Amino acid sequence: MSDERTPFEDRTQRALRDSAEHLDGRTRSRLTQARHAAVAEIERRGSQRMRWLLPAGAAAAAVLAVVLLQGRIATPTPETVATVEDIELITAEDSLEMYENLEFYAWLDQAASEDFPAEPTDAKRGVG
Amino acid sequence: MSATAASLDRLSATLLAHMSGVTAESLEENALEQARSLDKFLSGVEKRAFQIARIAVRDTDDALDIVQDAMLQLARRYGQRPSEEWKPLFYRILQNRIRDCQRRRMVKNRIFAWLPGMRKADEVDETDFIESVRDERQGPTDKAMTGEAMRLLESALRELPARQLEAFMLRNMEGLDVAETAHAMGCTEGSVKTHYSRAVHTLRDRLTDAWGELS
Repeated sequence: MSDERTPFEDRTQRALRDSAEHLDGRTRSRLTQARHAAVAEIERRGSQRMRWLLPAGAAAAAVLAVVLLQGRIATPTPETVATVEDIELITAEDSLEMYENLEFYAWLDQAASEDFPAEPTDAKRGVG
Repeated sequence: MSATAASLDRLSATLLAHMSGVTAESLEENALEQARSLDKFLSGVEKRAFQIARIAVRDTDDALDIVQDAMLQLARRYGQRPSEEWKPLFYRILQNRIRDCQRRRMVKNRIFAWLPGMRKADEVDETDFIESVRDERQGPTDKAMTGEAMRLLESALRELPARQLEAFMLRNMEGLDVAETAHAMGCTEGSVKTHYSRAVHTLRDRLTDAWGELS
């Protein structure tokens, strides 16, 4: 079927549309009332939706604010994060030996700072 | 609480207030815009929709009820859809209501057919619609000719099968394209083309001579 319209189709369309444009007053009035009822319906539904969406929006914003605050509290500070260098120090073998002689190193440190060294016991020193 | 924490609190409070404010305004404006769009759309189609319903059900009051129902259904069910989608949806609802009305009438006729003295439901109080058409721009002769042409057209339209009538009114009078008509009728585009083509041929056969005598 071709989309081109024939003169016959144009004529029927004109006749039908003319008749629709010249309805009597009673019919026009009832159509207007029906339209107003439909428009009032969409307005009523719009305001209903607003009554639900506004509290929902406020609640969502409140939840977002709480999440932001919690996120800030739970964010780890740089001092608490173990870096690669820290892991190397912890896992190094010689560091265990150092902990065995911890008291000796403490004495050495005190002696160096106070400038009158006290002789440590051999047991405390624990080195060959 | 550090300065950063205080800034974050201020930001949260601002965000809360801003979201609430924007939502209220935009929703209100959106609802008003939808209502205005619907009013414009319906005022553009209501008269033709009424004519489509009246010719199909042959009764002015039933046709008005059908159009009113279709308008309300559109507002309730599809009012939030984009306005470009309304036309095929509205005509689909309208066609469904027309069919419902025709079915109810058929049932009434079956029930009351055997009762003597009962008036058949399809013997409708149809206002002589052509007589009620008023056009002050036309002279009495033009008006009579237009009225007679329309009477012949309506008579021929009522002889069409229901689906051909639907296709013809939607395509010809309302100007829907094939896809929109298919959506409104709930059938394929191929069916629309077939129904419309058959309707045009039938009407042309019946009206060409009669209209020729009028002009």
